Amino acid sequence: VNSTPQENKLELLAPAGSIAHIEQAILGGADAVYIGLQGLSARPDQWCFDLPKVTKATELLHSNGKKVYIAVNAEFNGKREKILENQFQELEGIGCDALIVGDWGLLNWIRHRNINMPIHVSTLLGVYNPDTVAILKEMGTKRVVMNTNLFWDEIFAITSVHSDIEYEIIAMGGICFNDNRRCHLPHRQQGDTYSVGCSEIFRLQGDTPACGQARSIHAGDIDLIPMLAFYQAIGITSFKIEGRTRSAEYVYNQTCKLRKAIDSLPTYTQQHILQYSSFR
Amino acid sequence: VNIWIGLSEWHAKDIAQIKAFSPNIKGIIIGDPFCQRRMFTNGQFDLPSFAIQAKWNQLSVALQTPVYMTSRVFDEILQLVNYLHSHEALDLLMVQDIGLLKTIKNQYPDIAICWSLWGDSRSHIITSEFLDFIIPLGVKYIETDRASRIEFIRNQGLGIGYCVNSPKVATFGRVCYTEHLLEQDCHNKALCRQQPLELFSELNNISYKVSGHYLESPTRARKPFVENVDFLTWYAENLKDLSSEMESMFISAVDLEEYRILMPLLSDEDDLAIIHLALQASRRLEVPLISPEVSYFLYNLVKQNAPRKIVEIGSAVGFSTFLMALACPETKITAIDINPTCLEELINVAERFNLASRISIVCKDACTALNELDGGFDFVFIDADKEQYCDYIDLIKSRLAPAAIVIADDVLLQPGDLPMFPGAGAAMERFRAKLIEDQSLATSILPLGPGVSLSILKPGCGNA
Repeated sequence: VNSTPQENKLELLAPAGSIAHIEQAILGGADAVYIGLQGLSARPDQWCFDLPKVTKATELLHSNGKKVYIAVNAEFNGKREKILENQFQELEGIGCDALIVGDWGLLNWIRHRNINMPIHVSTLLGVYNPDTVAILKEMGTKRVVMNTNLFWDEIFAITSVHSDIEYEIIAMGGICFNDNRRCHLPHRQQGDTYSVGCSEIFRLQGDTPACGQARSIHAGDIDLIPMLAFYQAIGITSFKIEGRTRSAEYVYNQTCKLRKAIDSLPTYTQQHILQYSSFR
Repeated sequence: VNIWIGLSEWHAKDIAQIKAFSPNIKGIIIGDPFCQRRMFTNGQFDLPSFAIQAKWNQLSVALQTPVYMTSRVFDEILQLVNYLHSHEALDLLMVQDIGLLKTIKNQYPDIAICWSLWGDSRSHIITSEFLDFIIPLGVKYIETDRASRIEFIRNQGLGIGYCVNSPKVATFGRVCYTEHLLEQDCHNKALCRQQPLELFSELNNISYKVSGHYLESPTRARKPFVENVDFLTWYAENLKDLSSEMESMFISAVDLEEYRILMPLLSDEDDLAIIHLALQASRRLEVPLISPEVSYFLYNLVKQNAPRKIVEIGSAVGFSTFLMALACPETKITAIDINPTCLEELINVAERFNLASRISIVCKDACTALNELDGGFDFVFIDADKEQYCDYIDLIKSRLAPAAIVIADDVLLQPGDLPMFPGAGAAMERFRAKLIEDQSLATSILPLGPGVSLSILKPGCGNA
């Protein structure tokens, strides 16, 4: 275990579904913004960017000293090879800072092509253990987006073994009981093969399940702010705000909130965590 | 076809009983995609002993590994694999995690690995890019429930495990609901899966049932006809469910291959169940059936003409009767056969699937029965004693509605085709001549199966 305190600068990653979102994210103090590439992103097209828009977004963000990540996390059906290869080369030419990939097949495909953009892997890959991260490292991955439905000790089991790549987690936004990799509910809601963004968060309410009562679910947002220092100490370097399909105002408000929290973080180290875990 | 059975919950007696369901059952799938605790009475501690018991019972063993191979279960699973492997009680490993896959390939290169159903994307569509990635990691089989992908996957050099029956999972949770809500480890198995929760989605107005970790919709995927696969995987809640599912599906999955062309006609599950129950009965009683081509023809002909009253001479166990009944939901059928054992089978199925009100049974010699019938039949199907075909035509003609259709099977039989009925060939020759000479019928002889005659009553010749 690497016991030296991590001194990585923390990143605040904001979502954007339009240029207006990006402007608000910059105002709110984001370090980076992620956007979806039209046709290949797991959100409806109205919230995505085509190549001219990506160019515009990149120029805007870079001129403000921010980074831009491109999500290509739609279900990859393998029939788009030519479009993809061209698009990836153009994205590289535009100067985008990373690709967010959501499919093992696509990841492997990229590795065997002349595409040199940094790769972030999405939660859709299902990264649950250090052995999987080892493979991702071999494949040249720069960052792993952690599944938010992992317990902290499960995250630490990964980050403590592989401390030489970046880890990102959703700090604000929807976290659902259900597995975002295989959930069919968004399909049923949106009726679109490539739109897998879920607008509904499933939470259980109420008392113990032993009584077997029917219970309703309603939307609610996760807020990791009280736990930021803890997650930083277990190796998370990027905190993401979820919600590419939400309003620009939402993006601004959440970015401000998270910015404030990140800037006033107390310093925990992995040593604290190890002590904590031994008392667990 | 080999079948592997996975039950949601295993009990010791199941192992000894399971082979009785079908000789095709090759092995059991133990382990759970989510939680090894809930499957057995004593949690995961039972798993090794179940595997050993299965081997004693000449069953192969497949170990299903979890979806969420986090640090909390990773070592436990590796220990299980190691134990089963060293006791020669592991024939197939179902994997759905890349990290585990790589570890197994490095440590146990001789274990056969099947990439499990829930290991891939939500649409369960395996892409060639994904195969390019996992084949070098040692995967030998792919479990899929997409019949349309079988050929594609096989062409990439992999074996196929076709999932015939699995919970149709709409989504599933990472966190055990029981464990989460109680905020403690779920060692109390009584709480697990005993009380399914109902979840309601306000947005799409669908309700779901949560059983354990599954959030499943109530229906199950059923695509019984399979070809080009190495084995079937079959999941059921318990042995009781398995027996009823096997009864209603197994024949169609394995023995119905010959009648595959009927598949597109029988989209409904019940239709299929009816047809293969009749097939099953015909095999049990060793009663011959109409050929697949004739079945197809008969179904379509009835469907297109939508007759109101059908008489069938020689119903046997009801295979053709049911085909006609399914082809036209309004039609009423008089089913004549002399064999009460066969008709009993027919009645059983008809009652079970609410067809009894549309099928009236006459258990008599066909000539006697025809003599007693009223008229107005607009469709006749003859498949009975070949020597009497000519008599049937004489008797039925006065009972036909205008433009009635008369179908007879086996009309191109040649002398010697049926050794048990030496007169059949000659009788058919007489029958063909009679049909062609008959001025009131317009007849065609079609080379379908053993030959089918299609006769239409000419205008002005009907009685009713």
